[in-house]
Amino acid sequence: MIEPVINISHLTKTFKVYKKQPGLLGSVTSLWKREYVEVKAVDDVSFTINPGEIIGFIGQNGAGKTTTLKMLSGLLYPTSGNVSVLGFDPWDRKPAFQKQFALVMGQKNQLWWDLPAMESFLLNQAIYEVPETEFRKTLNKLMDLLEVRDIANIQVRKLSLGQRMKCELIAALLHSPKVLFLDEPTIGLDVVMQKVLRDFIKSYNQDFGATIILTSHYMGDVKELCKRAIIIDHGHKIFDGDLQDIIDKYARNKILSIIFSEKVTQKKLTEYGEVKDFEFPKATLLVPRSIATKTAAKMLSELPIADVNIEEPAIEVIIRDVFESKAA
Amino acid sequence: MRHYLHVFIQIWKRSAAHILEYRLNIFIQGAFILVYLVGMLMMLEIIFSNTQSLGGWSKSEVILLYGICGIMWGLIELVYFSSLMHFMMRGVSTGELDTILTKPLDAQFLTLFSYPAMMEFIYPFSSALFTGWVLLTQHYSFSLESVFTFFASIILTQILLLFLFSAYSSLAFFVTKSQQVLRTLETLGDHSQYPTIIYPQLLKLSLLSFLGVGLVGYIPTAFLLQKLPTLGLVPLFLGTCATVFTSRFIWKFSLRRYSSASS
Repeated sequence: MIEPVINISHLTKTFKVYKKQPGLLGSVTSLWKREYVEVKAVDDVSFTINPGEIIGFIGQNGAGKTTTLKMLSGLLYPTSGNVSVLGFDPWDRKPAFQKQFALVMGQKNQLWWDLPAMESFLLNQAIYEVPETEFRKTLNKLMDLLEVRDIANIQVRKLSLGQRMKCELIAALLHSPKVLFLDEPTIGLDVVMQKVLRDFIKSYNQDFGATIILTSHYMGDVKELCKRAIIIDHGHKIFDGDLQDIIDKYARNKILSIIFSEKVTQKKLTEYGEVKDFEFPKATLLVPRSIATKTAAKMLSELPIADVNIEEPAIEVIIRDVFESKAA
Repeated sequence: MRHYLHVFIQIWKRSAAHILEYRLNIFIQGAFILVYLVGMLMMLEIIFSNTQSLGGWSKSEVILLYGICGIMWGLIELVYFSSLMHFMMRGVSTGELDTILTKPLDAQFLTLFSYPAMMEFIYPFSSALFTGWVLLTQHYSFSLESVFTFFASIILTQILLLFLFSAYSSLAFFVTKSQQVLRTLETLGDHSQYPTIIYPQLLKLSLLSFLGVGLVGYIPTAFLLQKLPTLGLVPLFLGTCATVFTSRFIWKFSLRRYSSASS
């Protein structure tokens, strides 16, 4: 039986937040009277992750994704619950544990701003006690994978966001961690750079067998990298399973994309399903999943159709619908 | 220990490389530090033009105190004061502490030594030159015992102050503008250049205890000039141990309050 790398059980994190009334009067009043609100950022979340998995951690802003990652990496103390990563309690912050994981946050950096990235790499080598041979081997491999040889000796403040992100990843991976926590690593990057980073993460997982938890608002990251997804909403885990299962569980409709050979009216199309888009000769309909095939067959027999395509809705759309329905 | 020393050296190398990126800053910083040091010397001249001794300390003894205090404060500013200020001002409130807390090193060590103020090297360096000149020209005579107690007290007071200021820096987990505490202590540091015994009792006790600044130069110099008995090292040692223990406890307790500013 495979021992899970990450095991969390009934994890909860509550923050006490000061709620200030607007205006100067509110500020003066707050000197002696303050209203505090308890915010449950993570509420009774449990899951396990096996070695080598890449998990997509999906949720809206403020859902609790980053808070969960921070508890897994020992930055925050949980209010309650149990966490075990590689057999360690993260908040004990034992060096043996910290040498085995890396946390990369897309909006924070660890590189020295005014020095070339190579200086930060060498400092990390010292901090993580990486032997020289191993350091050079890993560094060369990572620099080749991410194509940063030309920029490693340029001051970090002079690099573009994408170049800096690549160097951040290298700095985080020099000690060959077994577990990677990636918090929005592709945020702000252009589509080309996003693809480069995704390919890199995939090959790092394959080459090193690292377990990866990835949070991202770009569904492209999740779709390309993750077989399994965990959806978190207002601190609660609402889904944990294969990405494909999100579609099976939550998608209410299928999309029929049709090309007509002769003119039809939009009114006629409404008999078959919800018309999302109609500009002759193309039309897009939403049809309930259970009758999608039957509806397509009926349309083919009754309408002048040149081509028809049945598709699942985009995962982004499904997840958006999930969140919107929960909000409602 | 060897690991920590190695990391410490690596951080220093990078800090030195960092300040060398801004060459003009070195000259400007150096010039202003020298102006400050000369200004303080002029204050001593003014004081001793009006009196023969200051709390039982002669002019040559006070000048020696001034030089030793400059070296000690200079080292504090150079080695860790800037790191603590950076940590208190930015590390906690902006979440920069995240990168330190995930490293396989004691987090308190990293917050103390991550950002040495290499520009401040002129302060202890010029103070050391000045003290050397004073020792050569003023014909002091020191016994072996006084030299031993002097160096022992320097080590103890520096460790004590390191952990005392670190304990104060833990306020950053509770109060947003906590760096004002260290700024105030830095300002009070000017008082450490005069014999602490000249101050009123309450201020004297404060400077030698929870404020700490009275320990910077006065205690080691008093041991060197044999104005304090050797046995005075015992309460100093006990005070240092108590401060280290308390500071570590406060740090570990305060870390639980860290909320890691949102990305």
